Amino acid sequence: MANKNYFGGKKALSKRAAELLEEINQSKSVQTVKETGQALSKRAAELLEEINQSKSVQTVKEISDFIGVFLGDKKTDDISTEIKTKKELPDAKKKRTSKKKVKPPNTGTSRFNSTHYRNLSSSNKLYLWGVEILITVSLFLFLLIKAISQANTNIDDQKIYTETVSRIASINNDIEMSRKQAIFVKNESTKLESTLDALRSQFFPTLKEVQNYSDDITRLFELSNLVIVKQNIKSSDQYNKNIDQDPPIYSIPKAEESTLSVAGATSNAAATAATPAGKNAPAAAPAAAPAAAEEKTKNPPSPPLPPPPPKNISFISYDLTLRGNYLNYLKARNALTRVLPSVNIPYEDIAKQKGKENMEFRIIIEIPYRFK
Amino acid sequence: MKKKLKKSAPEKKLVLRILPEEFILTTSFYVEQFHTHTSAIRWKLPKKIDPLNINADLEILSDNLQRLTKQYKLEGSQVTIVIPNGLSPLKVIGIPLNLNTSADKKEYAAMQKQAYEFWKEYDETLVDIKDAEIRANFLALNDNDGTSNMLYTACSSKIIKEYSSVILGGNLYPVAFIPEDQSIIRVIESRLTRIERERPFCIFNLTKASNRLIYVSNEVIYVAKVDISDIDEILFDEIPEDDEVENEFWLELTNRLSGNLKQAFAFLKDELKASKVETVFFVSDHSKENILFELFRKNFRLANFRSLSSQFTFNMVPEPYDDAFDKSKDEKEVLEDKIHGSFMLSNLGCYTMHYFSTPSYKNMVIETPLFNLHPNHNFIVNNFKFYNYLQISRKLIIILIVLIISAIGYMGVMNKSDIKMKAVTELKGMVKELEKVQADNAADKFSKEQNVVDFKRLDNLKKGNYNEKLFNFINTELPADLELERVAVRRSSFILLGNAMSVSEANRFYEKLLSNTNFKDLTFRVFKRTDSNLNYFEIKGNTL
Repeated sequence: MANKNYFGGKKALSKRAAELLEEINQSKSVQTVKETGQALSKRAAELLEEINQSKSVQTVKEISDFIGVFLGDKKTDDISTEIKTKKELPDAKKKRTSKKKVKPPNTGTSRFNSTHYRNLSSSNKLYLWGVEILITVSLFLFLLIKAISQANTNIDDQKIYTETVSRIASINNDIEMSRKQAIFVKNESTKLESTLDALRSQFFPTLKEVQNYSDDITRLFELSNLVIVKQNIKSSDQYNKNIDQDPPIYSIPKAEESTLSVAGATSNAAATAATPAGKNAPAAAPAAAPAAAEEKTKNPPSPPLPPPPPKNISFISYDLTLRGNYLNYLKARNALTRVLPSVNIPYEDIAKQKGKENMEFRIIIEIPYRFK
Repeated sequence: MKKKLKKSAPEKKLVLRILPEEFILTTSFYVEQFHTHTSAIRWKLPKKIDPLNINADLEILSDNLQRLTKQYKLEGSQVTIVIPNGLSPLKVIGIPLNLNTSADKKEYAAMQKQAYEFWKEYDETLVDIKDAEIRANFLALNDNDGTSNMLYTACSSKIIKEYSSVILGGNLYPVAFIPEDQSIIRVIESRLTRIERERPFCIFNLTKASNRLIYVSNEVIYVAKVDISDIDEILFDEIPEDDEVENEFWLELTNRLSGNLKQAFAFLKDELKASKVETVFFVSDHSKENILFELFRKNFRLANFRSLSSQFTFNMVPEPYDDAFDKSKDEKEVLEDKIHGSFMLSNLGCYTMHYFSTPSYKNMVIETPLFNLHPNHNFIVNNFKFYNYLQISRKLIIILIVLIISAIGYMGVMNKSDIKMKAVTELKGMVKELEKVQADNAADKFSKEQNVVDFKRLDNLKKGNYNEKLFNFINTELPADLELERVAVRRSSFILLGNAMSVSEANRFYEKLLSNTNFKDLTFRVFKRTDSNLNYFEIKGNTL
């Protein structure tokens, strides 16, 4: 406001100029005009020029310059109404920047816009804004939810991915181990297989070879003075386990009766008296009939079924009914087992013929053979 | 209304009052119990104008206001304008409706759609103007005739437009036009004690060309003009500050002024039948307010004559970016500019009031919300108020949306779904492969085990099985006194049937069998034959 004081010496000016000078003073000096770029009216500009050129102002300027130099304070230049460029006021600028700036009373202001006022005073915007905010908030929430779900999905995916990768690694290890084990087992199995093959080929003849034995076997028994009463040779890929299909009927002698014999003993005696066909069986002993039937076929109980033969092995079985001397039979039997150590004789029935010296033999000889 | 004061920041709001020679613009208001602080700007006008008729000086007013806003960086601010009492007088008008009943309320609301037509019947001043902004609020029911007393004010729409034009020309947004009297009443009442608030009081507003005495009670407000001549008003500025006032000239003036005030007071009491008033509060926008107060106080004895000006402190807002404004000067000037007075009370009533006491009963005049005479008063304040929030919200939401979209984009880029699917597919393949390998392995193992079993069987098989032990035993151990009738062998089971000379001989043979570890499950039976003297025996067993 210093310039107001300096321009207080306005008596040398015309009345109109003085009024305009006052107006200029009100407009916060020409410096403000310069800064804001506000152009003065043409008439005002002319009068400003007049003021600048007036003697009193020149004097004021000189005095102010002098005071400025004397005080070393360039800010007195500001009182000049001449429009100076900013370059001419470096010190003032520096001081301005170094001083604490006074904030405007209401900092929450914006540039004035008449359209803005028209817009806000035309109608109640709250509903519109409410809808807008609602939409944007909804959009925001939608995106937020999407982002959260995406994040959750990503986290889950990451978790699953990590777990999957670790599982893949462990499964890889398992596969590797299994493969190694498989190789090991396979090698062992192959070794065993080859051993088995070797064993099979070493100890077991082929079917063709075995079929050739039939002649040798029958000759063996015949040369041992045994009469072959009956011969049945059976060969099949499937092993026949049941050897007791037609068991022989054998009669047991009668036991002496005793007064102390129990019912079982009586029945036993009755059974022993029965003929193989049951023709001589007493008619008055129906209760003892089952026991008698049991006694007639006095054979060993059927043994448990043997396990199936090893792979690629089957049997050719010779069902022979022989007649002859026991020692000859033993001789032939020993010869057979010596020649064919792998022979099986699962069925042997040696019975003495009544009133004769010769014995009857029924044997089943199983000779194992390999398929290939 | 009765908000308890909390230690908070001052309320920032621009309130403008146009006086004949200046603008008074208050920018903030801060309330303490016995003190208020206000920031204000006084802008001297280049010429004297008439606030009651600004039409002739619209350009000057707009221009000066524009300069003011530019200088103080206030462009684009919202501003509340105090409308002078002469343009929007505050009155109490009785209407023949009982607004305590809902039916009359509805009728009144319906009639307010054509407020001008309705109020024209009760306010004769409306006849002179074509259209007006009218605001009214129910005060109390008149029990005698069933009419409702309404606090009422009206202002010509033309005046409002002129004021709007000036404010918009000054690059400000006019959002509210408040009647001066209502504003003054509110701010004075807010500074009173509880007892004072419960009793009627008067405000003597000494202002150029509109001197008046305002009577305020719980349900009524009266305004009496204090008729002071123009010559006397001119003399207010010339009143000396020292003892010179004691001379005859000034004493005569003082007597004259006091007489005017007494006359107005008597009018209130006698003509308007106002109840007893204990205190008259002095409010003035004259520069020599304190001297004038003393002059009136000396001669007015009808009631207490008080001034609240000491409670109102005003800080003049310094001009921003003033080069000649350094810090030391700032502090000095602030101290110098700190002044007390009541000249801005018209502005202060437009701020939010804070109360430090609660009266026993409501003062309906004070409870009445501020009358905003802006044509769009229903929404313009809220529009401007929420516009800033909306802008902030928009920016915030846009920033958040951009952030979220970026996050979604980032998450989309970092999406592990495909990799996961690949990994899961790979895992499934691996699991199948593992199963296959394990199945192969199991098959190999089974095959190996089978081979091992086969090996054992082959090993057994190659040795043959021909009951050699049994036959060796029979051939070597059969005694001479025993003969065998039958030997039956079924794999490992055997049965021996034969005859013995004696049972003991058969027993010995059986004992030999028993003692041989190659046989088990042996049963032995012997009996005497009927057909001979021999003993028939039967031995069953199994070969190991």
